[in-house]
Amino acid sequence: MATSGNLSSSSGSSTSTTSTDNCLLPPEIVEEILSLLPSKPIHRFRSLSKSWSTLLVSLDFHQFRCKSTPPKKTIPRVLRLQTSCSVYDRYPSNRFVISSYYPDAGGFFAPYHQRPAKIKRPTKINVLVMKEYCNEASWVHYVSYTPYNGVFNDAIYLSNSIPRSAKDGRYIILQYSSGCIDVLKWINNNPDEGSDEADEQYSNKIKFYDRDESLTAIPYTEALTSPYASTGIHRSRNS
Amino acid sequence: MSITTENNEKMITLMSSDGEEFVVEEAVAAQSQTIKHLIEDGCSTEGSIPLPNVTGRVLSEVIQYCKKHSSSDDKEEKELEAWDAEFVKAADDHVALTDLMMAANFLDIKGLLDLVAQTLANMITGKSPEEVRRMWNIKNDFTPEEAEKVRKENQWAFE
Repeated sequence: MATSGNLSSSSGSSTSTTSTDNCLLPPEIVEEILSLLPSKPIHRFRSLSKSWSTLLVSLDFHQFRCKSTPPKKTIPRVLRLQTSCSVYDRYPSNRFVISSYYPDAGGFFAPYHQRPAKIKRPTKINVLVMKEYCNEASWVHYVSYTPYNGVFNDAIYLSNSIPRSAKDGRYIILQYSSGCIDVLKWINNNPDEGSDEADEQYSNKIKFYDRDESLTAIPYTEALTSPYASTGIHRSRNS
Repeated sequence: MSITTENNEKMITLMSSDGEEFVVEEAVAAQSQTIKHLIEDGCSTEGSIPLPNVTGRVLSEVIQYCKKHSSSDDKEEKELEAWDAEFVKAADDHVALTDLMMAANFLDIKGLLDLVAQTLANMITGKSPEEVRRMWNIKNDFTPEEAEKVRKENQWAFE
């Protein structure tokens, strides 16, 4: 009887000593593992603990920044996205359109438009919503969007991915798997500026679609460092 | 202690935290940047290199990995990938993998670190926060209100 008691206690202690249960993972190890996670668990594990949350928030942004380097020759554009109006983007490599932003629903449709047949569609779009462009401390929301069948349908409704809290954001950054980036500044119509713009959403749509020059493009490096400089389309922060 | 074998390969001795000794070719051991630096600093000439953070069980796995990867320069990359997959499969559970990862981190073996990190990342990808907490005994230090807030903000990731 004494022997069997000994045996069971020793086997019990051996299982607990072989595991790392009692020591926390060193932070550098956690970081190594978490940096390999896809976007969904990155968000899910934010509720795990405070240290994980902090790490994941910074990792998330870091990943976004790392993957944000566009291929040569593409010029990311800072586009103006107005409440209830449409902005069409014309890339040499991808045709893409952001249209019909619905602030009440907290989302927008992002359909393709007249895509040249030989151009590959991006298989993934990352959407980052920020208060101040290029300020790491101020981003509001980030989501990766990957379609079920590997390609995007003509319209993607992103509202489920972007929570209402993201309405604090002023910039929406779209990053395509093809390496291109769109930076959209979203301007809330205020009374002195835009009461009739909202009414003219249809004509806005036509205008943006027909005339490339209504989209102001700025060089990538400039877009990253100085969102307010030389775009001509931004109002100053305080006005 | 450094010994030289018949085919002129310099051998070095590694000692685990529990006193187990492993004699390996220098080229194998030098895949660990940590050991490589120790060798360069002349530590291997005065007996075995002590590795106080790595147990014999883990060290033997690490050496297995290093042997395979040092001898496989001219082999097919695909075969090596298949071998890697089997290797982490044999490690079996997250505890063994975590031990392995900490050893790879301490010994600074980038290939092994990446391999195990990816395996663990895959392992937790589909898990709930509670399951991951249990895996590594991580304490949930959010207050219920904070937890609810974080969860709400990231609700889409739970669906």
